[in-house]
Amino acid sequence: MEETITKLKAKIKIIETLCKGCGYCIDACPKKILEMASYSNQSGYHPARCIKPEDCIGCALCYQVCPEIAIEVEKL
Amino acid sequence: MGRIYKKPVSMTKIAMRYCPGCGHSIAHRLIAEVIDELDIRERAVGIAPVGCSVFLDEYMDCDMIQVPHGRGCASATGMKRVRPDLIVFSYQGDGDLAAIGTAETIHAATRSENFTVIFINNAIYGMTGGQQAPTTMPGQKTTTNPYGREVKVHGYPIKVCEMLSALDGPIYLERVAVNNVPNVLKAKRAIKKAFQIQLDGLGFTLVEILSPCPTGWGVIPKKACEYVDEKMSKYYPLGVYKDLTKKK
Repeated sequence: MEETITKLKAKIKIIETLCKGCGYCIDACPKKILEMASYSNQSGYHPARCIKPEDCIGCALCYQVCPEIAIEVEKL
Repeated sequence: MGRIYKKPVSMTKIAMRYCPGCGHSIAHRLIAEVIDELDIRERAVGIAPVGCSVFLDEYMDCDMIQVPHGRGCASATGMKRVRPDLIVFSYQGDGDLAAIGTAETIHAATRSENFTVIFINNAIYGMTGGQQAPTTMPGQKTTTNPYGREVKVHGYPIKVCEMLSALDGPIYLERVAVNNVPNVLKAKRAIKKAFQIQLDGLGFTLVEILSPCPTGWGVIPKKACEYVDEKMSKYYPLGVYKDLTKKK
């Protein structure tokens, strides 16, 4: 079996303490790699989290709609 | 190395205290990004309004002043006339600009004062608990009219962009929304153009932003964004209402 090495396209970082769980990023993500976490953050909201960071393409649509600027995206 | 998307330099590290899904913070970020891109942070002066965004001066990392209810355009006129080298922007909500500050706004526009107004329209008085605002649409339910706005009793809402486009003074009037990605990007372009017109010294510019208010409307954030698309954009059509930059 040949193993394919995929190059990381982007780094996504969600600052969970700032997230208020509005879910805008989850709807905006074209790759559907964001979801609402089952746990709560310190403010009592369910934060968004990235379930497959390696699939992120760095389009930063989640950053564009995030009202709290809780998402940082670095395109590599 | 590609681009890094993170909090703009013109914003402080303080976490914003808005309700989940509020459009105010998106508008703050767009203004801060435009200030960064045009490199005008050292000479930008912002005017914080009364309402939910009263703490705008805490969130923005440029010179800010907080003025009484509705007096944004009047204060901006004073500042711009004393120091024409400054870049002045007034950030106002609908209760601020369209109710108590209507006279100041209309006269500043007709004098074509050289500053930028960012007008947040969420069709409701958000901070005080969701009462009927001058921009509440016919039939829309609020806490003070639980059966919906009736035009025979409460009158018609004020359409600010349409009203100001009848004047000769304003140079650039555009209505945008911040409910989804394409609209956010369009809103940023509009704000950038308004600031650029001010930098060129042409005159009065106003960008009206339709903003979701999930708490005031009593819906979840996702439904609030759909409401902006389905109801608000129909009553307040998006687009450029006046653009005199090409003629001058």
